[in-house]
Amino acid sequence: MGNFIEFQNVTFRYEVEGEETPETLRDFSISFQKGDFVAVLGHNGCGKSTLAKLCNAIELPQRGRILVNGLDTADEENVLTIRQQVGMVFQNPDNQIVATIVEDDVAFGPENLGVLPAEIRQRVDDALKSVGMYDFRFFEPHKLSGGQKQRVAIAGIIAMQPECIILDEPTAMLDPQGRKDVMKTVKMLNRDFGITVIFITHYMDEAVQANRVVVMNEGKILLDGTPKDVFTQTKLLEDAGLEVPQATQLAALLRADGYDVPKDILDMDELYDAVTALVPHP
Amino acid sequence: MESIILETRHLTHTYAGGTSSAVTAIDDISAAFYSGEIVGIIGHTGSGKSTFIEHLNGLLKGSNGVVLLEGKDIWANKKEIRKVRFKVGVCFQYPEYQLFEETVEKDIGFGPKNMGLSEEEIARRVRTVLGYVGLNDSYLSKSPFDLSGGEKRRVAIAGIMAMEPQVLVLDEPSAGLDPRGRTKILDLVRTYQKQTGCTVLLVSHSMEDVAGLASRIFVMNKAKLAYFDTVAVVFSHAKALETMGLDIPQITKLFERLKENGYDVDTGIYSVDAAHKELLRLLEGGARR
Repeated sequence: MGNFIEFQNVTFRYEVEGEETPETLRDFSISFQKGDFVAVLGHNGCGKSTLAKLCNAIELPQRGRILVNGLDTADEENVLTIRQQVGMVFQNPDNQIVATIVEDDVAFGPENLGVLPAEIRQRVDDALKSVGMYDFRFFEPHKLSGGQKQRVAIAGIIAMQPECIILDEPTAMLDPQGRKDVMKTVKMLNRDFGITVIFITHYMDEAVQANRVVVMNEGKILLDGTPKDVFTQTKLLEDAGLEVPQATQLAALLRADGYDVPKDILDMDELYDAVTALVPHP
Repeated sequence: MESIILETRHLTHTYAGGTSSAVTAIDDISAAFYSGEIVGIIGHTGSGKSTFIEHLNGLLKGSNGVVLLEGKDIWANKKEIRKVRFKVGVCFQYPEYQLFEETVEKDIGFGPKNMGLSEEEIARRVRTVLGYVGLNDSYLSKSPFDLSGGEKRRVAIAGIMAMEPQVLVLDEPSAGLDPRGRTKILDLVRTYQKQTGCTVLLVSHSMEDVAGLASRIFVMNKAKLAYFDTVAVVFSHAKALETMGLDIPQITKLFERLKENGYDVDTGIYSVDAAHKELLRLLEGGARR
Protein backbone atom coordinates (compact mmCIF):
# COMPACT_ATOMS: atom_id res chain seq x y z
CA MET A 1 0.00 0.00 0.00
CA GLY A 2 1.23 3.44 -0.85
CA ASN A 3 1.82 6.51 1.27
CA PHE A 4 -1.35 8.46 1.72
CA ILE A 5 0.09 11.40 3.65
CA GLU A 6 3.71 12.34 3.43
CA PHE A 7 5.58 15.02 5.40
CA GLN A 8 8.87 15.90 3.71
CA ASN A 9 11.32 17.84 5.92
CA VAL A 10 8.58 20.05 7.30
CA THR A 11 9.40 23.02 9.48
CA PHE A 12 6.51 24.93 10.98
CA ARG A 13 6.03 27.70 13.50
CA TYR A 14 2.93 29.70 14.39
CA GLU A 15 3.37 33.26 13.16
CA VAL A 16 2.58 35.97 15.66
CA GLU A 17 3.12 39.53 14.55
CA GLY A 18 6.17 41.17 16.10
CA GLU A 19 7.21 38.04 17.95
CA GLU A 20 9.89 35.44 17.57
CA THR A 21 7.94 32.19 17.97
CA PRO A 22 9.59 28.80 18.46
CA GLU A 23 9.45 26.15 15.77
CA THR A 24 6.67 23.67 16.55
CA LEU A 25 7.99 21.16 14.02
CA ARG A 26 11.55 21.15 12.76
CA ASP A 27 12.74 19.22 9.72
CA PHE A 28 9.96 16.73 10.36
CA SER A 29 9.39 13.78 8.04
CA ILE A 30 6.82 11.02 8.38
CA SER A 31 4.47 9.10 6.15
CA PHE A 32 1.13 7.46 6.79
CA GLN A 33 0.08 4.48 4.68
CA LYS A 34 -3.32 3.98 3.15
CA GLY A 35 -5.58 1.94 5.42
CA ASP A 36 -3.35 2.33 8.46
CA PHE A 37 -4.57 2.96 12.01
CA VAL A 38 -2.02 5.20 13.68
CA ALA A 39 -2.16 6.53 17.24
CA VAL A 40 -0.22 9.72 17.92
CA LEU A 41 0.91 10.38 21.50
CA GLY A 42 2.83 13.16 23.18
CA HIS A 43 2.51 15.67 26.01
CA ASN A 44 0.52 18.88 25.56
CA GLY A 45 2.38 21.26 23.28
CA CYS A 46 4.54 18.59 21.59
CA GLY A 47 3.13 19.36 18.15
CA LYS A 48 0.46 16.66 17.77
CA SER A 49 -2.41 18.99 16.93
CA THR A 50 -0.17 20.98 14.61
CA LEU A 51 0.57 17.75 12.76
CA ALA A 52 -3.18 17.22 12.35
CA LYS A 53 -3.82 20.75 11.09
CA LEU A 54 -1.00 20.46 8.56
CA CYS A 55 -2.57 17.32 7.09
CA ASN A 56 -5.57 19.09 5.64
CA ALA A 57 -4.15 22.50 4.91
CA ILE A 58 -5.58 24.32 7.91
CA GLU A 59 -1.95 25.35 8.45
CA LEU A 60 0.85 25.43 5.88
CA PRO A 61 4.54 24.76 6.55
CA GLN A 62 7.22 27.46 6.19
CA ARG A 63 9.70 24.91 4.84
CA GLY A 64 9.34 21.44 3.36
CA ARG A 65 6.12 20.09 1.93
CA ILE A 66 3.18 17.85 2.73
CA LEU A 67 1.62 15.58 0.13
CA VAL A 68 -1.86 14.15 0.56
CA ASN A 69 -2.53 11.43 -1.98
CA GLY A 70 0.22 13.06 -4.03
CA LEU A 71 -1.31 16.56 -3.79
CA ASP A 72 0.75 19.37 -2.25
CA THR A 73 -1.21 21.09 0.55
CA ALA A 74 0.48 24.41 -0.28
CA ASP A 75 -1.23 24.55 -3.68
CA GLU A 76 -4.53 26.37 -3.21
CA GLU A 77 -6.14 24.45 -6.04
CA ASN A 78 -5.71 21.23 -4.08
CA VAL A 79 -7.23 22.44 -0.83
CA LEU A 80 -10.85 21.44 -1.51
CA THR A 81 -9.89 17.97 -2.73
CA ILE A 82 -7.60 17.47 0.25
CA ARG A 83 -10.26 18.54 2.76
CA GLN A 84 -12.74 16.16 1.17
CA GLN A 85 -10.23 13.34 1.46
CA VAL A 86 -9.01 14.13 4.97
CA GLY A 87 -11.71 14.77 7.55
CA MET A 88 -11.09 16.10 11.05
CA VAL A 89 -12.86 15.42 14.33
CA PHE A 90 -11.95 17.58 17.32
CA GLN A 91 -12.06 17.23 21.08
CA ASN A 92 -15.18 19.19 21.93
CA PRO A 93 -18.28 17.85 20.14
CA ASP A 94 -20.21 21.03 20.95
CA ASN A 95 -17.86 23.10 18.80
CA GLN A 96 -18.39 21.04 15.64
CA ILE A 97 -22.13 20.62 15.42
CA VAL A 98 -23.75 23.28 13.27
CA ALA A 99 -27.33 22.20 12.64
CA THR A 100 -30.37 21.83 14.92
CA ILE A 101 -31.29 18.33 13.71
CA VAL A 102 -28.85 15.42 13.63
CA GLU A 103 -29.41 14.49 9.97
CA ASP A 104 -29.06 18.11 8.83
CA ASP A 105 -25.75 18.27 10.60
CA VAL A 106 -24.47 15.17 8.84
CA ALA A 107 -25.68 16.57 5.49
CA PHE A 108 -23.74 19.82 5.96
CA GLY A 109 -20.44 18.47 4.61
CA PRO A 110 -21.73 16.79 1.43
CA GLU A 111 -23.96 19.83 0.72
CA ASN A 112 -20.88 22.02 0.76
CA LEU A 113 -19.17 19.64 -1.62
CA GLY A 114 -22.07 20.10 -4.06
CA VAL A 115 -23.29 16.52 -3.87
CA LEU A 116 -26.73 15.97 -5.49
CA PRO A 117 -29.69 15.84 -3.06
CA ALA A 118 -30.66 12.19 -3.69
CA GLU A 119 -27.07 11.15 -3.17
CA ILE A 120 -26.85 13.24 0.01
CA ARG A 121 -29.92 11.45 1.39
CA GLN A 122 -28.23 8.11 0.79
CA ARG A 123 -24.89 9.19 2.24
CA VAL A 124 -26.45 10.66 5.38
CA ASP A 125 -28.45 7.49 6.07
CA ASP A 126 -25.43 5.26 5.44
CA ALA A 127 -23.14 7.41 7.59
CA LEU A 128 -25.58 7.50 10.52
CA LYS A 129 -26.11 3.75 10.30
CA SER A 130 -22.38 3.09 10.27
CA VAL A 131 -21.84 4.97 13.55
CA GLY A 132 -24.98 3.49 15.13
CA MET A 133 -26.86 6.80 15.30
CA TYR A 134 -29.54 6.25 12.61
CA ASP A 135 -32.32 5.99 15.21
CA PHE A 136 -31.38 9.46 16.42
CA ARG A 137 -31.53 11.13 12.99
CA PHE A 138 -34.41 13.45 13.93
CA PHE A 139 -33.00 14.36 17.35
CA GLU A 140 -31.75 17.76 18.36
CA PRO A 141 -27.99 17.39 18.86
CA HIS A 142 -27.99 19.12 22.26
CA LYS A 143 -30.16 16.33 23.64
CA LEU A 144 -27.48 13.72 22.92
CA SER A 145 -24.70 12.58 25.24
CA GLY A 146 -21.10 13.55 24.55
CA GLY A 147 -20.27 10.19 22.99
CA GLN A 148 -23.36 10.33 20.76
CA LYS A 149 -22.49 13.86 19.62
CA GLN A 150 -18.98 12.74 18.81
CA ARG A 151 -20.37 9.89 16.70
CA VAL A 152 -22.63 12.37 14.86
CA ALA A 153 -19.54 14.49 14.17
CA ILE A 154 -17.80 11.38 12.81
CA ALA A 155 -20.87 10.60 10.64
CA GLY A 156 -20.65 14.14 9.23
CA ILE A 157 -17.10 13.37 8.13
CA ILE A 158 -17.97 9.92 6.73
CA ALA A 159 -20.75 11.46 4.62
CA MET A 160 -18.01 13.31 2.73
CA GLN A 161 -16.53 9.88 1.91
CA PRO A 162 -13.00 10.70 2.98
CA GLU A 163 -10.00 8.45 2.56
CA CYS A 164 -8.69 9.42 5.95
CA ILE A 165 -10.04 10.65 9.28
CA ILE A 166 -7.92 12.51 11.79
CA LEU A 167 -9.29 12.56 15.32
CA ASP A 168 -7.71 15.00 17.76
CA GLU A 169 -8.40 13.73 21.29
CA PRO A 170 -11.98 12.78 20.41
CA THR A 171 -12.58 11.03 23.74
CA ALA A 172 -11.11 13.60 26.15
CA MET A 173 -14.51 14.89 27.26
CA LEU A 174 -16.44 11.63 27.23
CA ASP A 175 -17.66 9.25 29.94
CA PRO A 176 -16.43 5.62 29.90
CA GLN A 177 -19.33 4.37 27.73
CA GLY A 178 -18.90 7.25 25.28
CA ARG A 179 -15.18 6.51 25.00
CA LYS A 180 -15.84 2.83 24.26
CA ASP A 181 -18.47 3.64 21.60
CA VAL A 182 -16.25 6.14 19.78
CA MET A 183 -13.30 3.75 19.84
CA LYS A 184 -15.47 0.92 18.49
CA THR A 185 -16.79 3.13 15.69
CA VAL A 186 -13.33 4.27 14.65
CA LYS A 187 -11.96 0.72 14.61
CA MET A 188 -14.90 -0.43 12.49
CA LEU A 189 -14.36 2.38 9.94
CA ASN A 190 -10.75 1.38 9.61
CA ARG A 191 -11.40 -2.36 9.41
CA ASP A 192 -14.57 -2.50 7.30
CA PHE A 193 -14.19 0.57 5.09
CA GLY A 194 -10.41 0.75 4.87
CA ILE A 195 -10.41 4.37 6.03
CA THR A 196 -6.99 5.58 7.14
CA VAL A 197 -7.18 6.70 10.77
CA ILE A 198 -4.86 9.06 12.61
CA PHE A 199 -5.91 9.06 16.25
CA ILE A 200 -4.42 11.61 18.63
CA THR A 201 -4.92 10.70 22.28
CA HIS A 202 -3.62 10.90 25.82
CA TYR A 203 -5.10 7.54 26.74
CA MET A 204 -2.60 4.69 26.51
CA ASP A 205 -5.34 2.05 26.53
CA GLU A 206 -6.71 3.59 23.32
CA ALA A 207 -3.30 3.83 21.69
CA VAL A 208 -2.59 0.11 22.22
CA GLN A 209 -5.51 -0.66 19.90
CA ALA A 210 -3.82 0.96 16.88
CA ASN A 211 -1.53 -0.84 14.42
CA ARG A 212 1.16 1.78 14.73
CA VAL A 213 2.03 4.22 17.51
CA VAL A 214 3.94 7.45 16.93
CA VAL A 215 5.24 9.29 19.99
CA MET A 216 6.09 12.94 19.50
CA ASN A 217 8.29 15.05 21.73
CA GLU A 218 9.35 18.68 21.22
CA GLY A 219 8.33 18.65 17.55
CA LYS A 220 10.22 15.46 16.74
CA ILE A 221 9.43 11.78 16.50
CA LEU A 222 10.60 10.03 19.65
CA LEU A 223 9.26 6.55 18.93
CA ASP A 224 7.50 4.98 15.96
CA GLY A 225 6.46 1.34 15.79
CA THR A 226 3.92 -1.28 16.78
CA PRO A 227 2.25 -0.82 20.18
CA LYS A 228 4.41 -3.62 21.56
CA ASP A 229 7.62 -1.97 20.30
CA VAL A 230 6.67 1.43 21.63
CA PHE A 231 5.21 0.61 25.04
CA THR A 232 8.15 -1.50 26.15
CA GLN A 233 10.29 1.68 26.00
CA THR A 234 9.22 2.57 29.53
CA LYS A 235 12.02 5.00 30.30
CA LEU A 236 11.81 7.02 27.08
CA LEU A 237 8.05 7.34 27.47
CA GLU A 238 8.24 8.48 31.06
CA ASP A 239 10.93 11.04 30.21
CA ALA A 240 8.57 12.40 27.55
CA GLY A 241 5.87 12.93 30.19
CA LEU A 242 3.83 9.92 29.12
CA GLU A 243 2.84 6.72 30.82
CA VAL A 244 2.99 3.11 29.85
CA PRO A 245 -0.24 1.13 30.27
CA GLN A 246 -0.72 -0.14 33.84
CA ALA A 247 -0.59 -3.77 32.66
CA THR A 248 2.83 -3.11 31.08
CA GLN A 249 4.06 -1.41 34.28
CA LEU A 250 2.96 -4.40 36.35
CA ALA A 251 4.62 -6.87 33.97
CA ALA A 252 7.88 -4.92 34.27
CA LEU A 253 7.66 -4.95 38.09
CA LEU A 254 7.03 -8.70 38.16
CA ARG A 255 9.93 -9.32 35.78
CA ALA A 256 12.19 -7.29 38.06
CA ASP A 257 11.08 -9.59 40.90
CA GLY A 258 12.33 -12.53 38.83
CA TYR A 259 9.03 -13.86 37.50
CA ASP A 260 8.87 -15.13 33.94
CA VAL A 261 6.34 -12.70 32.53
CA PRO A 262 6.57 -11.47 28.91
CA LYS A 263 7.72 -7.88 28.78
CA ASP A 264 5.47 -6.87 25.90
CA ILE A 265 2.20 -7.17 27.79
CA LEU A 266 -0.17 -4.35 26.85
CA ASP A 267 -3.49 -5.02 28.54
CA MET A 268 -5.05 -6.69 31.55
CA ASP A 269 -6.16 -9.76 29.55
CA GLU A 270 -2.57 -10.51 28.57
CA LEU A 271 -1.44 -9.94 32.13
CA TYR A 272 -4.17 -12.26 33.39
CA ASP A 273 -2.93 -15.01 31.08
CA ALA A 274 0.70 -14.47 32.09
CA VAL A 275 -0.04 -14.53 35.82
CA THR A 276 -2.39 -17.52 35.76
CA ALA A 277 0.18 -19.45 33.69
CA LEU A 278 2.49 -19.22 36.70
CA VAL A 279 0.00 -20.18 39.40
CA PRO A 280 -1.72 -23.57 39.54
CA HIS A 281 -5.44 -23.17 39.06
CA PRO A 282 -7.24 -23.41 42.37
CA MET B 1 -17.63 10.78 62.81
CA GLU B 2 -16.58 14.16 61.49
CA SER B 3 -19.13 16.93 61.27
CA ILE B 4 -21.35 17.48 58.26
CA ILE B 5 -20.37 20.58 56.31
CA LEU B 6 -22.77 20.39 53.38
CA GLU B 7 -25.98 18.50 52.97
CA THR B 8 -28.81 18.17 50.49
CA ARG B 9 -32.28 16.93 51.45
CA HIS B 10 -34.69 15.72 48.79
CA LEU B 11 -33.07 18.09 46.32
CA THR B 12 -34.96 18.08 43.02
CA HIS B 13 -34.63 20.27 39.97
CA THR B 14 -37.06 20.29 37.09
CA TYR B 15 -36.18 22.35 34.03
CA ALA B 16 -39.16 23.93 32.26
CA GLY B 17 -41.44 22.71 35.05
CA GLY B 18 -45.16 22.75 34.32
CA THR B 19 -44.66 22.51 30.55
CA SER B 20 -44.88 19.47 28.31
CA SER B 21 -41.12 19.46 27.86
CA ALA B 22 -40.37 19.35 31.60
CA VAL B 23 -37.17 17.45 32.40
CA THR B 24 -36.18 16.41 35.89
CA ALA B 25 -32.41 16.89 35.93
CA ILE B 26 -31.90 15.84 39.54
CA ASP B 27 -34.43 13.83 41.44
CA ASP B 28 -34.80 13.65 45.22
CA ILE B 29 -31.14 13.71 46.19
CA SER B 30 -30.34 13.46 49.88
CA ALA B 31 -26.65 13.34 50.73
CA ALA B 32 -24.26 14.60 53.40
CA PHE B 33 -20.64 15.63 52.85
CA TYR B 34 -18.28 15.65 55.80
CA SER B 35 -15.71 18.21 56.78
CA GLY B 36 -12.30 17.40 55.34
CA GLU B 37 -13.19 14.49 53.05
CA ILE B 38 -12.53 14.04 49.34
CA VAL B 39 -15.54 12.73 47.45
CA GLY B 40 -15.47 11.58 43.83
CA ILE B 41 -18.60 12.33 41.80
CA ILE B 42 -19.17 10.07 38.79
CA GLY B 43 -22.03 9.56 36.36
CA HIS B 44 -22.68 9.26 32.63
CA THR B 45 -22.97 12.39 30.48
CA GLY B 46 -26.32 13.98 31.22
CA SER B 47 -26.78 12.13 34.53
CA GLY B 48 -27.22 15.43 36.37
CA LYS B 49 -23.76 15.88 37.94
CA SER B 50 -23.34 19.45 36.72
CA THR B 51 -26.87 20.45 37.68
CA PHE B 52 -26.25 18.99 41.12
CA ILE B 53 -23.07 20.93 41.79
CA GLU B 54 -24.65 24.15 40.53
CA HIS B 55 -27.06 23.85 43.44
CA LEU B 56 -24.32 23.55 46.04
CA ASN B 57 -23.30 27.21 45.79
CA GLY B 58 -26.69 28.58 44.83
CA LEU B 59 -26.18 29.10 41.10
CA LEU B 60 -29.39 27.14 40.74
CA LYS B 61 -32.25 26.85 43.19
CA GLY B 62 -33.96 23.50 43.54
CA SER B 63 -37.62 23.19 42.60
CA ASN B 64 -37.87 21.08 45.71
CA GLY B 65 -35.72 20.23 48.72
CA VAL B 66 -32.96 22.17 50.47
CA VAL B 67 -29.20 22.63 50.51
CA LEU B 68 -27.76 23.06 54.00
CA LEU B 69 -24.33 24.63 54.51
CA GLU B 70 -23.18 24.16 58.12
CA GLY B 71 -26.75 23.24 58.94
CA LYS B 72 -28.29 26.40 57.47
CA ASP B 73 -30.50 26.57 54.37
CA ILE B 74 -28.41 28.50 51.83
CA TRP B 75 -31.55 30.21 50.52
CA ALA B 76 -32.83 31.23 54.00
CA ASN B 77 -31.75 34.78 53.24
CA LYS B 78 -31.54 35.51 49.51
CA LYS B 79 -29.24 38.48 50.05
CA GLU B 80 -26.65 36.23 51.67
CA ILE B 81 -26.32 33.89 48.67
CA ARG B 82 -23.16 35.68 47.51
CA LYS B 83 -21.48 34.65 50.76
CA VAL B 84 -22.36 31.04 50.04
CA ARG B 85 -20.42 31.31 46.78
CA PHE B 86 -17.30 32.28 48.72
CA LYS B 87 -17.73 29.31 51.04
CA VAL B 88 -18.48 26.75 48.34
CA GLY B 89 -16.04 27.37 45.49
CA VAL B 90 -17.00 25.75 42.20
CA CYS B 91 -14.42 25.37 39.47
CA PHE B 92 -16.08 24.45 36.18
CA GLN B 93 -14.77 22.40 33.26
CA TYR B 94 -12.04 24.05 31.23
CA PRO B 95 -11.73 26.93 33.74
CA GLU B 96 -8.79 28.34 31.78
CA TYR B 97 -11.30 29.80 29.31
CA GLN B 98 -12.46 32.07 32.10
CA LEU B 99 -9.11 33.74 32.73
CA PHE B 100 -9.34 37.40 31.75
CA GLU B 101 -7.01 39.67 33.74
CA GLU B 102 -3.73 41.21 32.58
CA THR B 103 -1.61 39.34 35.09
CA VAL B 104 -1.74 36.08 36.99
CA GLU B 105 -1.70 38.07 40.24
CA LYS B 106 -4.80 40.09 39.31
CA ASP B 107 -6.62 37.04 38.00
CA ILE B 108 -6.11 34.99 41.15
CA GLY B 109 -6.87 38.06 43.27
CA PHE B 110 -10.19 38.73 41.55
CA GLY B 111 -12.25 36.51 43.86
CA PRO B 112 -10.73 37.81 47.12
CA LYS B 113 -11.12 41.39 45.82
CA ASN B 114 -14.84 40.76 45.32
CA MET B 115 -14.98 39.54 48.89
CA GLY B 116 -13.86 43.03 49.95
CA LEU B 117 -10.57 41.89 51.51
CA SER B 118 -7.65 44.25 52.18
CA GLU B 119 -4.78 44.56 49.69
CA GLU B 120 -2.40 42.83 52.11
CA GLU B 121 -4.76 39.93 52.65
CA ILE B 122 -5.30 39.55 48.90
CA ALA B 123 -1.53 39.55 48.31
CA ARG B 124 -1.03 36.95 51.03
CA ARG B 125 -3.72 34.67 49.64
CA VAL B 126 -2.50 34.96 46.06
CA ARG B 127 0.99 33.86 47.11
CA THR B 128 -0.29 31.02 49.27
CA VAL B 129 -2.49 29.48 46.59
CA LEU B 130 0.18 29.91 43.93
CA GLY B 131 2.24 27.57 46.08
CA TYR B 132 -0.65 25.11 46.33
CA VAL B 133 -0.82 24.83 42.55
CA GLY B 134 2.94 24.41 42.20
CA LEU B 135 3.83 27.77 40.63
CA ASN B 136 6.31 30.30 42.01
CA ASP B 137 6.24 34.08 42.45
CA SER B 138 7.83 34.65 39.04
CA TYR B 139 4.41 33.89 37.53
CA LEU B 140 2.66 36.78 39.31
CA SER B 141 3.47 39.43 36.71
CA LYS B 142 2.98 37.16 33.69
CA SER B 143 -0.05 37.36 31.45
CA PRO B 144 -2.22 34.28 32.00
CA PHE B 145 -2.49 33.97 28.22
CA ASP B 146 1.25 33.32 27.84
CA LEU B 147 1.10 30.16 29.96
CA SER B 148 0.82 26.56 28.82
CA GLY B 149 -2.55 24.81 28.94
CA GLY B 150 -1.75 22.97 32.18
CA GLU B 151 -0.44 26.16 33.85
CA LYS B 152 -3.53 28.14 32.82
CA ARG B 153 -5.71 25.43 34.33
CA ARG B 154 -3.76 25.63 37.59
CA VAL B 155 -4.01 29.44 37.72
CA ALA B 156 -7.77 29.18 37.22
CA ILE B 157 -8.07 26.65 40.04
CA ALA B 158 -5.89 28.87 42.25
CA GLY B 159 -8.38 31.69 41.67
CA ILE B 160 -11.08 29.62 43.35
CA MET B 161 -8.76 28.43 46.13
CA ALA B 162 -7.90 32.07 46.92
CA MET B 163 -11.42 32.58 48.24
CA GLU B 164 -10.50 29.97 50.85
CA PRO B 165 -13.75 28.09 50.41
CA GLN B 166 -14.75 25.45 52.95
CA VAL B 167 -15.85 23.22 50.13
CA LEU B 168 -13.98 23.13 46.83
CA VAL B 169 -15.85 21.59 43.90
CA LEU B 170 -13.78 20.68 40.84
CA ASP B 171 -15.57 19.65 37.64
CA GLU B 172 -13.26 17.48 35.53
CA PRO B 173 -10.06 19.25 36.57
CA SER B 174 -7.81 16.92 34.58
CA ALA B 175 -9.82 16.63 31.32
CA GLY B 176 -7.72 17.18 28.21
CA LEU B 177 -4.37 17.24 30.02
CA ASP B 178 -1.51 14.88 29.21
CA PRO B 179 -0.57 12.22 31.78
CA ARG B 180 2.01 14.46 33.46
CA GLY B 181 -0.43 17.37 33.70
CA ARG B 182 -3.11 15.04 35.03
CA THR B 183 -0.87 13.63 37.75
CA LYS B 184 0.18 17.14 38.73
CA ILE B 185 -3.41 18.37 39.12
CA LEU B 186 -4.38 15.33 41.20
CA ASP B 187 -1.30 15.69 43.42
CA LEU B 188 -2.04 19.33 44.05
CA VAL B 189 -5.65 18.58 44.97
CA ARG B 190 -4.41 16.04 47.51
CA THR B 191 -1.81 18.44 48.98
CA TYR B 192 -4.28 21.31 49.08
CA GLN B 193 -6.79 19.19 50.94
CA LYS B 194 -4.19 18.04 53.49
CA GLN B 195 -2.90 21.56 54.13
CA THR B 196 -6.24 23.34 54.36
CA GLY B 197 -8.38 20.51 55.73
CA CYS B 198 -11.24 21.63 53.52
CA THR B 199 -13.73 19.37 51.76
CA VAL B 200 -13.14 18.56 48.09
CA LEU B 201 -15.72 17.25 45.64
CA LEU B 202 -14.16 15.99 42.45
CA VAL B 203 -16.29 15.34 39.36
CA SER B 204 -14.51 13.00 36.95
CA HIS B 205 -14.99 10.55 34.09
CA SER B 206 -11.79 8.78 35.08
CA MET B 207 -12.42 5.90 37.46
CA GLU B 208 -8.64 5.73 38.03
CA ASP B 209 -8.48 9.35 39.20
CA VAL B 210 -11.42 8.95 41.53
CA ALA B 211 -10.08 5.69 42.99
CA GLY B 212 -6.69 7.29 43.60
CA LEU B 213 -7.97 10.38 45.35
CA ALA B 214 -11.36 9.99 46.98
CA SER B 215 -12.43 8.16 50.10
CA ARG B 216 -16.09 8.02 49.04
CA ILE B 217 -17.79 7.98 45.66
CA PHE B 218 -21.09 9.62 44.76
CA VAL B 219 -22.67 7.95 41.71
CA MET B 220 -25.38 9.63 39.70
CA ASN B 221 -27.53 7.78 37.21
CA LYS B 222 -30.40 9.29 35.23
CA ALA B 223 -30.92 12.20 37.65
CA LYS B 224 -30.92 9.96 40.73
CA LEU B 225 -28.30 9.18 43.34
CA ALA B 226 -27.42 5.54 42.65
CA TYR B 227 -24.70 4.96 45.25
CA PHE B 228 -22.87 7.05 47.82
CA ASP B 229 -20.37 4.90 49.64
CA THR B 230 -16.71 4.05 50.13
CA VAL B 231 -14.57 3.43 47.05
CA ALA B 232 -14.46 -0.31 47.80
CA VAL B 233 -18.22 -0.68 48.14
CA VAL B 234 -19.02 1.37 45.03
CA PHE B 235 -16.52 -0.46 42.83
CA SER B 236 -17.83 -3.80 44.05
CA HIS B 237 -20.92 -3.05 41.93
CA ALA B 238 -19.00 -3.52 38.67
CA LYS B 239 -21.93 -4.89 36.63
CA ALA B 240 -24.38 -2.22 37.77
CA LEU B 241 -21.85 0.54 37.06
CA GLU B 242 -21.38 -0.78 33.55
CA THR B 243 -25.10 -0.62 32.82
CA MET B 244 -24.94 3.02 33.95
CA GLY B 245 -22.31 3.76 31.26
CA LEU B 246 -19.58 3.77 33.90
CA ASP B 247 -16.81 1.37 34.71
CA ILE B 248 -14.39 0.25 37.39
CA PRO B 249 -10.65 0.92 37.20
CA GLN B 250 -8.91 -1.43 34.73
CA ILE B 251 -6.56 -2.68 37.37
CA THR B 252 -9.50 -3.63 39.61
CA LYS B 253 -10.96 -5.63 36.71
CA LEU B 254 -7.90 -7.89 36.67
CA PHE B 255 -8.50 -8.84 40.31
CA GLU B 256 -12.26 -9.24 39.79
CA ARG B 257 -11.48 -11.70 37.01
CA LEU B 258 -8.93 -13.62 39.10
CA LYS B 259 -11.43 -13.86 41.94
CA GLU B 260 -14.24 -15.01 39.62
CA ASN B 261 -12.00 -17.81 38.44
CA GLY B 262 -11.34 -19.06 41.93
CA TYR B 263 -8.07 -17.31 42.78
CA ASP B 264 -8.06 -16.03 46.32
CA VAL B 265 -7.23 -12.37 45.83
CA ASP B 266 -8.40 -9.07 47.25
CA THR B 267 -10.49 -7.13 44.70
CA GLY B 268 -10.17 -3.74 46.40
CA ILE B 269 -7.07 -2.88 44.36
CA TYR B 270 -6.86 0.52 42.66
CA SER B 271 -3.19 1.37 42.16
CA VAL B 272 -0.18 -0.20 40.44
CA ASP B 273 1.63 -0.49 43.81
CA ALA B 274 -1.24 -2.28 45.50
CA ALA B 275 -1.66 -4.54 42.46
CA HIS B 276 2.03 -5.40 42.48
CA LYS B 277 1.88 -6.45 46.16
CA GLU B 278 -1.25 -8.52 45.66
CA LEU B 279 0.13 -10.27 42.57
CA LEU B 280 3.34 -11.11 44.46
CA ARG B 281 1.26 -12.61 47.24
CA LEU B 282 -0.56 -14.74 44.68
CA LEU B 283 2.64 -15.78 42.89
CA GLU B 284 4.43 -16.63 46.11
CA GLY B 285 1.72 -19.13 46.88
CA GLY B 286 0.32 -17.12 49.74
CA ALA B 287 -2.94 -16.71 47.95
CA ARG B 288 -4.53 -19.85 49.39
CA ARG B 289 -5.47 -18.30 52.66
